[in-house]
Amino acid sequence: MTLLEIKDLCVDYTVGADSLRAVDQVSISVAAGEAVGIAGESGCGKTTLGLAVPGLLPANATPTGSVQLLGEEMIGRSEDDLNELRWTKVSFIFQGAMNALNPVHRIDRQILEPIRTHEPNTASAAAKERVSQLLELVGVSPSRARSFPHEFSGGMRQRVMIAMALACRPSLLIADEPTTALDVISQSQILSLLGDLQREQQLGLLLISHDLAAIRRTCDRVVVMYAGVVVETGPTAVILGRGTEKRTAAHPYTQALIKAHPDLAGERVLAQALPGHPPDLSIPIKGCRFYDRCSVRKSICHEVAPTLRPVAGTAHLAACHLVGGDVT
Amino acid sequence: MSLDKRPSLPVEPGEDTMQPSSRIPWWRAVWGDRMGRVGLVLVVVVLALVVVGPMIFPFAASSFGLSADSILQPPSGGHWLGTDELGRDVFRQVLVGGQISLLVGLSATAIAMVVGAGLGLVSGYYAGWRDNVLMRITDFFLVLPTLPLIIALAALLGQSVVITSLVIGLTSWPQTTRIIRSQVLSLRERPLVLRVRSLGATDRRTIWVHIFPNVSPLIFANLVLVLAGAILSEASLAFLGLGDPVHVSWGTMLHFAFTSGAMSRGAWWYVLPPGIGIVILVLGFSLVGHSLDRILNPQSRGAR
Repeated sequence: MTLLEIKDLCVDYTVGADSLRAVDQVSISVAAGEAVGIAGESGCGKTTLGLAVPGLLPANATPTGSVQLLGEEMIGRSEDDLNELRWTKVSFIFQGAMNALNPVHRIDRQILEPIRTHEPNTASAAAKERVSQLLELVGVSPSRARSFPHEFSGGMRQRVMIAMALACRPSLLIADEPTTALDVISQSQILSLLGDLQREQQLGLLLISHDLAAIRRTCDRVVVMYAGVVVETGPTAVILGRGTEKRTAAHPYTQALIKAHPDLAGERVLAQALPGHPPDLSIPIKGCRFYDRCSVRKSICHEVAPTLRPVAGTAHLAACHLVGGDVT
Repeated sequence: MSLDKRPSLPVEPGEDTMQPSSRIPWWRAVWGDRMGRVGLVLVVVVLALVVVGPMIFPFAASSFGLSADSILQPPSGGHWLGTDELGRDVFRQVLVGGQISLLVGLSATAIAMVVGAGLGLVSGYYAGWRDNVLMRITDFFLVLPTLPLIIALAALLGQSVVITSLVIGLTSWPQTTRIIRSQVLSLRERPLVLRVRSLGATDRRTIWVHIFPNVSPLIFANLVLVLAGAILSEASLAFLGLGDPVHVSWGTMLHFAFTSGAMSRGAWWYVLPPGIGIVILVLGFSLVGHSLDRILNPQSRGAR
């Protein structure tokens, strides 16, 4: 069953008189119980895409296209209609737990908020019991429920955020850089937690991260974004490699991203940084968006924008002229 | 890798919030600061004298106008601070006058805080055109020469405790608005507000439940400073003869002392006590206010 179906989603930001397309014609689907990772550099539209699903874009952003959550169209919905779906169907784990928690309220009160909002008839004792269960679920002792956020470590705060996101039993969880700003041990614990919860509760998970290792560990499929467009998508095991499977990333950008991360298991090669920056999106780009930084570019790449085409089978797609054999 | 179910117990200090790094009550924090401690002692001593004093110190019945001998008498056993130009006990007047000074100061501050913090919260939270309009109004009030304005308003509206409080209150809010607005502008951009919005919280709820508690320490620190200023403004007004003639404050006492020629007659006991009272009270509140500001406001921490 398809949980989330994003079709031809575009998001335009208006800044003064200028307009900038941060997400361009993106189509992604997430099935129930499936974990999909969105990878890419900073500023390539990952967070904007994530925020567009629950309708949390800032006021100067205009989404067009279609985002269907359990068959319900999210774009163009009124704020009240969106509120009915948020937390109960889709919930969001925000970037930076310290800033998403209110420093002056105790955490039990903050976890209670979505329950009180969406299930106002829940008895007070039952709601408290739910908070304890949620905390237990994410590995925080319920005895700490009356603590303030600053009394927690970064990893525990992130666990609290996850508990909060699960408070109304959503079917889809969107996690925006859930492990950024955490130490490696906490990162690993949070990823295990997310993976376990996702499998146990058959949640759909959309994991937004620049960290390929996090996506490789947690996600069934990966979507690589660059400058607002999807450049490659397919099974994680195929693109990033997992276990004995060899990675077969097709797009030069994905390959560069992989090279930029040190690989513990593979050959001992020095991680290579990818020089340059993503292009300025306020200036229209005719050809491939990765042209300026691509090491294997051809003349056609400057002229014609490549579309997603199959690499091998129907699951693995890449948007590159060098894929599929038109250009050699 | 299995999940570690044991609760870990590290306690980190707050990172970037305006909370004091540990949860100690404000008076303890102020007491720990040398400047704040002096201020706190001054304020408490004056408060005790002014509020409790009239109840415990015995006063002779009003003896004014009995004879020429009873006016402007120097301090004695019967009148600890002598008598005024009508033969009234100065000590009693100082204690009761302090109550009026405090009352006007507190009510003016209350008005200034409601207006100042309210506008600051609205302006910072909504930003955009509302912010623009409100900030231009605030700028206008900020650059107004306050004392001449207060004098003109007081002369125009009349002389009573209520009007004096209103006039001072309605001219002391702009700096509070500016400070609160700038902090709210930064708070509203935090994921916290986005999270609360995704819960369907109304603007009112977001402001009251989530933003207000985060700026309340700042409002409190500012309140004490505005209070000191308000007491001083009241004294200035009253000294110039614009105070309430029925409810005599320290400023009004100075006014009467001046007009009755107590100063040229060397009646120091009539002039010094209200003057010293004003200085101690204002100094005390200022010291506490600056100390609080230093403790609660990360920007000014260590800047002095």
